Amino acid sequence: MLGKRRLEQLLAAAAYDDMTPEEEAALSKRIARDPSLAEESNALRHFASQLPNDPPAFEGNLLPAVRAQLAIEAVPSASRSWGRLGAYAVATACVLAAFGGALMLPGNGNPSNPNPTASNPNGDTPLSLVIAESHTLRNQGDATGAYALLTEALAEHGDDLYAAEVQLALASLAFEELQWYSEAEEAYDAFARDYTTAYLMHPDSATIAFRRNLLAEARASAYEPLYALIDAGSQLPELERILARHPAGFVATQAADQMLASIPGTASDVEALEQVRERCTDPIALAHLDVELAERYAYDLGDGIRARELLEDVVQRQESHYAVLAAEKLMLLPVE
Amino acid sequence: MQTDWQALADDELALAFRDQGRQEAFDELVRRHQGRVYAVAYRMTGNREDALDVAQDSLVKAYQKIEKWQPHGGFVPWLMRLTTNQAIDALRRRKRQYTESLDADDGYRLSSIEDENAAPADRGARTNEIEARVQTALGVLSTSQRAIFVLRHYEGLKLNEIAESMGISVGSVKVHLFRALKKMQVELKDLYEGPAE
Repeated sequence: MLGKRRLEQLLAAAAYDDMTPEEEAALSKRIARDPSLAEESNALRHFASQLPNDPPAFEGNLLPAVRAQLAIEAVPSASRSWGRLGAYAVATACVLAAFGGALMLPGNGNPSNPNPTASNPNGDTPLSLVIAESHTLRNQGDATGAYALLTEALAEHGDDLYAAEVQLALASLAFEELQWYSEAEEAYDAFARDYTTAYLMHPDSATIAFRRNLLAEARASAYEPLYALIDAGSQLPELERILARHPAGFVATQAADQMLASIPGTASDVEALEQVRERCTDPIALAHLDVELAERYAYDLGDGIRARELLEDVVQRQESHYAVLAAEKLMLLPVE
Repeated sequence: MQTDWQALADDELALAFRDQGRQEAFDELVRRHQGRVYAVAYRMTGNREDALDVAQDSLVKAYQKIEKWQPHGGFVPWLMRLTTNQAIDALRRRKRQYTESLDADDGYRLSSIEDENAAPADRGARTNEIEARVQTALGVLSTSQRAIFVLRHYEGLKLNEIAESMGISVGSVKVHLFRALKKMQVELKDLYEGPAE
């Protein structure tokens, strides 16, 4: 007599018409003794045939991401800091975007990682060699030459393992050194679009996301705010004016970031922000700094009372660009 | 003479990559099977984000472990095994992250229907609903049952291929498949009636 397990095996095989002649004979024999089994077998077969088996839609191309990951994993561990940071990076980028740019651009990170030793650990490819060459040109001050070299090489070797790195290096060169903002925006967009996983996994993906947003915002003014920010350097009055002209966005955040850089020797960002705030006079810039300070007090220092004071003050001042934002932040503050 | 990689069979490509290090052969295998790898990963994990991670990891593993592939088993079952193993690992990792969640089973998490099962415009709402229900029902299965069901039902692998790729007996595959089908039947009984008398 067939055991339960054996019967289950036969019914499963019958459901998908994947039976040996011996199994067919065994099941027929069993059904002859117990006709109710025929019903169960038919029901299971019918159920399996009715279940849809269309594959989920997939229209992407994983090849660039696979190559990028292989390139990362080929890098010695000391320089392999990319890892599975996608969730963190996305979360950070989302926070930046959701706040409308009122958080600080993190540090002075250089997302292009043009270190040729990290790029070419073992085994050369056409693009790994070009990266090393472009790094040399860049160090010699020939950013234009490096850009041209990388552009040409990427067009020729788009399938190379290092294509993502080259795409990002192009964006970085255009943004940081050449100030070719239209090209930079296009290059960052191409990096995010064509090498999505590399983008999401990159340790500086939050910075890259910020730059994309900054470029998109500045595009409406032919990137004039970005040139103004470069000209302003760390001059507080000029940065204040830029922030006031472009409030509540990524340009404002970048201006505030540069304001902080103008206050050397402070122990913390909060202290630097407080000092900047004391020197500012423009009401829009003050409102921006107050909202930013409130965030720092609430979430970095756990001082919800001070955060609430600052935000309530912004609401009461009814500064048009920041009052609503401050009110929203008030609602999100943890209850003391 | 230029090799027409697209004209080669899967196993020929795998051999060209394994024995001759032909990168183009691996690239062609990825292009050819990435949708399938993603589909298995998606059915296993229940959401697009994890599926993309799993699919990518699986293809990377295929690249790194190609020397372990033996032609007698066929490249696709081997790739499917890598994919289900990667998915199982991903589910385990996720389970650890959700240990405090009362409904944590094996880490399977279904994303919203709108996000994950956005059907082409010409597919009706009914199809979309069925797809979502089936995907939810997959979450009820154990990891092994789900892997076997996905490989048999969606990928059409033979039972002996599944057994070989998972390193278990054909009998065990059949038992898992039977129990998976029964569970699915219970979960979806309002959608599917039995055969006409």
